[in-house]
Amino acid sequence: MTDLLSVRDLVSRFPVGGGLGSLFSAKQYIEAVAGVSFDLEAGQTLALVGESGSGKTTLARAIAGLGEDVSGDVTFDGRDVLNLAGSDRKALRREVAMIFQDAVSSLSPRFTVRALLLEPFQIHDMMPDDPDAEVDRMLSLVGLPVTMADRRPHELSGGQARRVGVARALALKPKLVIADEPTAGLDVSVQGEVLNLLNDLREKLDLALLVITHNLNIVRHVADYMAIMYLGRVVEIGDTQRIFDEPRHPYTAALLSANPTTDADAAEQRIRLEGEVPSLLDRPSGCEFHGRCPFVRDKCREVVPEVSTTQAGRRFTCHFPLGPDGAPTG
Amino acid sequence: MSEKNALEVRDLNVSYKVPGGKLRALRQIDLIVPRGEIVGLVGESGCGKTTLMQTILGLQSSAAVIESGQIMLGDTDLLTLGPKQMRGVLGDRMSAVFQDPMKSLNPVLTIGRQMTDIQFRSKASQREKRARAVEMLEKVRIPDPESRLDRYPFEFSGGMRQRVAIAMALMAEPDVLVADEPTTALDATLELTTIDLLRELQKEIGCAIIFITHHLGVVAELCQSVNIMYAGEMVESGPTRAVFDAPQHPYTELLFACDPAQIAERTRHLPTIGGELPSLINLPPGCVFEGRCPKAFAPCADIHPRIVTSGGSDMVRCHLRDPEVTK
Repeated sequence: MTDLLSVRDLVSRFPVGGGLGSLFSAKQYIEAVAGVSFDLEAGQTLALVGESGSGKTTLARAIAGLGEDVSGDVTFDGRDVLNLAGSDRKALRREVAMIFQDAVSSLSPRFTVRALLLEPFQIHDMMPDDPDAEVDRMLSLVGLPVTMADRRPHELSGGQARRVGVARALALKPKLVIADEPTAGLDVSVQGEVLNLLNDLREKLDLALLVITHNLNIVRHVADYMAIMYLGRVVEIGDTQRIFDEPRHPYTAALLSANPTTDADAAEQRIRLEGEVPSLLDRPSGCEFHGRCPFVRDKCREVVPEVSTTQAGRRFTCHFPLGPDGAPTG
Repeated sequence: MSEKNALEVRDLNVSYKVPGGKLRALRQIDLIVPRGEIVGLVGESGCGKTTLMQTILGLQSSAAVIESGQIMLGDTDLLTLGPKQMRGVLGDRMSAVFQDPMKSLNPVLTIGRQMTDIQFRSKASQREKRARAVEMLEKVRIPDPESRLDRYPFEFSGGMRQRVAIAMALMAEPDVLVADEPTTALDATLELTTIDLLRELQKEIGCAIIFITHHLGVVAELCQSVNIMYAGEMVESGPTRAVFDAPQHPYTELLFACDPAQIAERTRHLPTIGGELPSLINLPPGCVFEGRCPKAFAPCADIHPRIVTSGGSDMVRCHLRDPEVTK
């Protein structure tokens, strides 16, 4: 099967500074995404995981064609996303949909649910012949009663607003859906509803899903593959279950164990990270994780690690990857 | 009031005036916070945990009506205090940390200025107050605290800002700290360090903490006891271990089951709690959870359950656990 989405060496940067200083010195940039590569097939889910500021959202925006100052290659369904002409770009927006983090504030408070659901059709000049029937179809697709059509966003609960957001994203039958923190701020009893919905729709419509989250508990249940990001780079990527069973990069292991849990044993074996995430303006030498890595050695401070690929297709960048016992090898 | 409790909420009833009647946000709430313990308060949106927190701190909205009840801090009933006396209690015997540290710190004043201002009750000199601020920043592990004092909140990372807020709240060594979702906005790694820090400081200062969260894992790691709220009522309370091992109320059980962290086997279909919260304006006559409860039986729809002790839990409000209700 060919990949629906293929990303190669993607870099997305932002200018920093300004003020008087910028008159005299060269413009400075930070690379929020610094050379990311991965593939995603139709019908599969990839989770992007990492701490705040690791570049997850910037990466997603670049893939959706919403980034500025992006370089590298993004191929979606045979098309070069980063070099699209205006009309092709609009067509891309039909096929790549986004579900935003804050469901309620991404819905205009003055629109009814009906108007919100028809808005994508309007924007793309694709108004269905029978709009009411289309609204009903979309509502039932996401499991909302058709009577919801006349409500406004403030009359919806968090979970319902999230469902309307999902319905809007799916209105134009996209092939790829990017969900940015789809469960942030939701109660646990509702979290499951939204994830089950996304998962059912993925199966039914053969969607590719890119889920951005820092909630590792949900990743394990919903994602086929996961990519762990640190300072704008992917430090480990591969099959979700395998990564959970046997993380190779110490950062992955630390993230997986940094999960407050009801299991007392897990709490004891926890890997604690020292310090804070370094600044993107002043990237550390060698392995960029060396300042916080519990297993750091001299080599890590000086030499940038290469990407290693295992037979199972797992990739990671670490000089001394963890073995099955959780201790560094080599 | 028992000597060993730092704070006791007794039979608290709070409602809001709304068009169309009275929204009964808190009903018959009891909460016991033993001295020097960390007590978890768990519940989903709309369960009343914010109203309870605000009422304890005397920060409730003007639409809130305290119908009855007592909030005992030592020998003082906070509900009988005037605004001026309440101000004397806050920041001295009781303080708070909120979810968003950016909102609780003044963006146009340096951290040092805010940390000395907050010591307005102390007769110490400016220099001593500054030294005390440095000492507190050291305790919350802010590197290079002396120079950090002259910086503004925006120059700190999210995790550091929350640690500064914690330092300020604990500066007066209060009897009770109310922590309202202090780690919700933080990443997992930072959440963990913040929890470790709170635990250490709590041991050192010996204050009691009311920790409000919806993250069950945090409760399990941090709190000695846990209180579970649903639709304005306390449905279950008890020692954390006992409640997690054998939840007595069906809502507690379902809530734990929904937490993806609790599900050992990987599943594509996550459990949820069906149905919706009951209206708090027209309360159902029976149990508030009856409409969503898979174990509901004859009396649940009509009779409001009373409080009983069951299993390892100190209190549970459920007919199933009431020995006098025929099953």
